[in-house]
Amino acid sequence: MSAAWIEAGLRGVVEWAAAAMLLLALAALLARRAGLLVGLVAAQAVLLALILLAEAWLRADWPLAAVAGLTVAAKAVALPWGLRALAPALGDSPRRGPAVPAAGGVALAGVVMVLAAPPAGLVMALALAVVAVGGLAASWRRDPAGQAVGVLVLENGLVLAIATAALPGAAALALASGMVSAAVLLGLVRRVLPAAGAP
Amino acid sequence: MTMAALSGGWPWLVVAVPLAAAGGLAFARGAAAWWGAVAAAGLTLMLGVAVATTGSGAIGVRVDALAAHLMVLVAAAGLLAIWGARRGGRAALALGVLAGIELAALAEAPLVRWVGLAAAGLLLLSVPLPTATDRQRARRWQALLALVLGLAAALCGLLLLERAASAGLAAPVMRSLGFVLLLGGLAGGAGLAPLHGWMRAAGAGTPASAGLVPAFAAVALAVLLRARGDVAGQDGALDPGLGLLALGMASLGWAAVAAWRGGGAGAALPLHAGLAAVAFGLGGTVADAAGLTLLSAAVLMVPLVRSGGGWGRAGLLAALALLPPFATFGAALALLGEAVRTLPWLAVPSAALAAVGAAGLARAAMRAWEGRRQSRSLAAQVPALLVLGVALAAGLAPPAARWFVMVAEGLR
Repeated sequence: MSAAWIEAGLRGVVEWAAAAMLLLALAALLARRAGLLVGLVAAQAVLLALILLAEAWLRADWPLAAVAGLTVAAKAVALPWGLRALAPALGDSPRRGPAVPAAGGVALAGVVMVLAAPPAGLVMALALAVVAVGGLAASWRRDPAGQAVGVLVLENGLVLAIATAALPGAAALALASGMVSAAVLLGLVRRVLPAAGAP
Repeated sequence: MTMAALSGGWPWLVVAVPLAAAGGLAFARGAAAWWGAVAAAGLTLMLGVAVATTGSGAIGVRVDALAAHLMVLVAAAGLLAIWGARRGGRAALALGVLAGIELAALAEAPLVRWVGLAAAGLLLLSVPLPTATDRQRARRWQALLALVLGLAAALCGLLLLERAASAGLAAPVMRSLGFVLLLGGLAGGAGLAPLHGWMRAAGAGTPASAGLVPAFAAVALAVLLRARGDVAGQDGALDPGLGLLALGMASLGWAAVAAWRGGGAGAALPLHAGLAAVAFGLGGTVADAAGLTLLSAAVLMVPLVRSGGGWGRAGLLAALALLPPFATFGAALALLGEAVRTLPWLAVPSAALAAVGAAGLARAAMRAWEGRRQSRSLAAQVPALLVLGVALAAGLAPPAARWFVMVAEGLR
């Protein structure tokens, strides 16, 4: 009886946290200040870690719990620290009207939810929507920092999709998907520092 | 127990050898590094041939006819690329790319194939350009973003397809959505214009790694080919052939425009990838065999065309231009016949676009022939002449053509 109650509670946590991740992704589409962008990604990483822990418990897939720990360490602690060190070189994004990306992001997320939720389930649809909004941020924004944050958001969505797909080897695949962010962050450093006159 | 597991897992050496060599040679420079890389690529090729001929399997490995063909083809392309880039350096990086592509060709699980493609693609774009301008750096950054977006869409598509398969459901909507995402995500990686822009930035890297770009495209297209089988025939699901046909026609159109504007050899990969996509879209053993032939020709010839000169370059361009008596001519003819038989309305526009693209390549072949006197020594042209010999033999000898038919039959 109590196990069923815990399971239902954890499933609720997963759904609400996934929805909150989508809202943070939409916020990252609009944010201009580099510091705020970094904070949004860190908050999304904490939510993702929560979901990973819940999925690890629900499916007794304990390697996912290790991925949750790594996610917090890498994306909520190390990455914000590193990006804040880069912040002077990154600068704020140029001011552009928020109406177009806001409408575009909400419309895109809505279309993905309508298409994906019936066949794939609510959490998987939310994960795909986070990926889509992250992809929109990476392609719509013109500032490299905003584009890189878009990819980080996209990768958070990918890990969420992997965790909720209930496939064997999910933890290994989630770790492998981290190379996407690693390559983009490496590219960001190479792209931004020379332009800012750094050695 | 451990020894049995090790001996049973030897097909994985095709991935492990170039990966270990890449790690070992990462900080080496000069002739020793180059010879080491050539030896590792040669060993990978020999292992690939051994795995393909014995048909040995292992946990996580799928050695069917398509995997065997791709494994040997990619290893041969890797050896040619590293051999040809003697002064290019950074051969270790090319070995890392080779390991990633071999993993994608050999792995049984589609998600592991994605890991191989992602590793190879990201590695191709992560190599630093020693003398990059701001504009080149910006272009490379855009290419990296395009690749990442494509990989993300492809992974989402594979997750949906895998989830539908593991649940044992027909799930036509989920399978259709999965295939559309996979197709959109991998189209650029498969060399299909107009989404193939990132390949130009990847090709601007070191000569050795740039030589593997067509091999990456071929394996990405093969991943699509395998996914086609998961969706085709499902009641209520989209016809995967339609998506492949649409992207193939777009790529042929791009190749025709590029050739019309004097693009020359640059049109070769979009032309061949486009023809292969049209062939895989049509389906059937004859069309699939033709598509595989054209794709294989591009994997071996396009890097050599970029790096070579003289007689060899002229011959390679003539083969890529679908001229007789090379195998590409027979494949294009077979494909045209299949298009006339199954989709007559598509045969005329696809043939016209392919003809314009091929004419551009033929013109480039004539220019290379006229400039053959300024070309490099005969010894430097050995790889090109070797590949040309294979293309000629495959065009003239029926057993060689039958090999592609056998690979295509394995897809059924």
